[in-house]
Amino acid sequence: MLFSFILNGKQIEVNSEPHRRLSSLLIDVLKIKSLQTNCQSGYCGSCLVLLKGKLVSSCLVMVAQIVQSEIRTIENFENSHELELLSKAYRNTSANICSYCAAAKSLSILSLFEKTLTPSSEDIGHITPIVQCKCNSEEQLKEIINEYSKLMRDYHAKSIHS
Amino acid sequence: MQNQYTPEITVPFTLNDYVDARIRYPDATLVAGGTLANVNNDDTHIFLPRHVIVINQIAELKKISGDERFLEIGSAVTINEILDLGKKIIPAILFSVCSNLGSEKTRNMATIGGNVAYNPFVLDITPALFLLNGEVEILTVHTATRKKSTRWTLISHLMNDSGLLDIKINEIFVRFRIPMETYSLQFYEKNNPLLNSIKDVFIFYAVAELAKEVITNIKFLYSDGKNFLFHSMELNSLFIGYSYPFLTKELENAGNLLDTFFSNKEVLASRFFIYQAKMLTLKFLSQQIIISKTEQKLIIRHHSK
Repeated sequence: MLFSFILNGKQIEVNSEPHRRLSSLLIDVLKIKSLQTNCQSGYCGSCLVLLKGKLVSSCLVMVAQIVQSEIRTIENFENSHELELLSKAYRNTSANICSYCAAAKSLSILSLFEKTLTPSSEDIGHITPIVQCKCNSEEQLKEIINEYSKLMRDYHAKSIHS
Repeated sequence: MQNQYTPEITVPFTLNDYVDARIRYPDATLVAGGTLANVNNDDTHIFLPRHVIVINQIAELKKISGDERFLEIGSAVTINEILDLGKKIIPAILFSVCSNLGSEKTRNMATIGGNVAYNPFVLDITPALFLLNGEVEILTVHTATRKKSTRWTLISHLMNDSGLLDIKINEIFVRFRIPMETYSLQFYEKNNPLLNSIKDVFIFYAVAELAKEVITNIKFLYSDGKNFLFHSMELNSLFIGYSYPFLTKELENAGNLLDTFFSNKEVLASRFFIYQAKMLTLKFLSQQIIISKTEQKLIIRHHSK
């Protein structure tokens, strides 16, 4: 069957079985490099994507469910100031994000800041346990988010002045 | 293991499209968010029945509306979309249940209808809707005559003894109606003391109405999160007329009442279940639960009247 949807800003038409996992379609067919599959039950968070702006585990989504939807992966943020500032936040803090979870954790942080530039501790608390990887504690992740928040506010303040 | 066949999957965008799909595939299984249905599968494909109707894009099922009397939530509204309405609008017990369901990524996909209609187990939302005197609008597709009909019914009228809802394959939940005039005290707690996600889960729900600090109506509901749900008007009635919160001496009496009550129920529930039921009921009656929680406003909601 032919399915059409928007992937990282581009209209895509692809042939797929309707019950194929979205994660499999993105990784195996559309060759998205940032995603990984692990638990296949929506727990680990390594296959996170933004579906209509909401974080979801792509392994739990079948292709038939994404008709006419917009999907974004971390590749959508390449060369953006958001990702640049997030990389800076990683460098400025003591946290060392591992290559296994970096894309998923980055996507979850970026999605949080699409909603608000000043996330509450409750908002942050929803984001930190999303990706199951022990390279960093939730406290370290909060530290990164707070640093990123500061950098984003500075960036926006400068943008307004200039 | 991959399906031996490619399932026929229909994705309707309106209820009329859904009716057509149901007439074409009377045996079709419904999938909304898919957070439960889409788990047991191989690496690349999701194992599904031969005919599936995906309902999470049906516009009518995604509506939220309300007035001062009722809140109406479409069955394909996601848990996070409900939470986005905020604590001031959602009854406290429903807000608390929704906040505790899965993680952010699950709540973005899981729907209220999926949680309530999931048939193998009683999941967390159904008992909350039951206690809140929630109603549901059901659309029935009469495949033989190719006609449809709708009806409203109380959640409590659909529940069987295990707490599961009796719904037929040609029926679909359209929307839930929740009264806004809710209870003064509302509480929900899910315990898993052995940290085992499958066994020994205990869920406690309690709502109460007070008049001048005296309990005029109270309802307890206990669930194992799977297929055992316990509520009793006889138990509830034991506590009507008492001042709230209970003092130490009254708590002793309440403990004795609970012991006597549950001593006859050991055949129904495990000792773990009865212990948790007694402990949390007494905590609720003594208000210990409420004052020990940081989200005090979430749990205690006094009427503005």
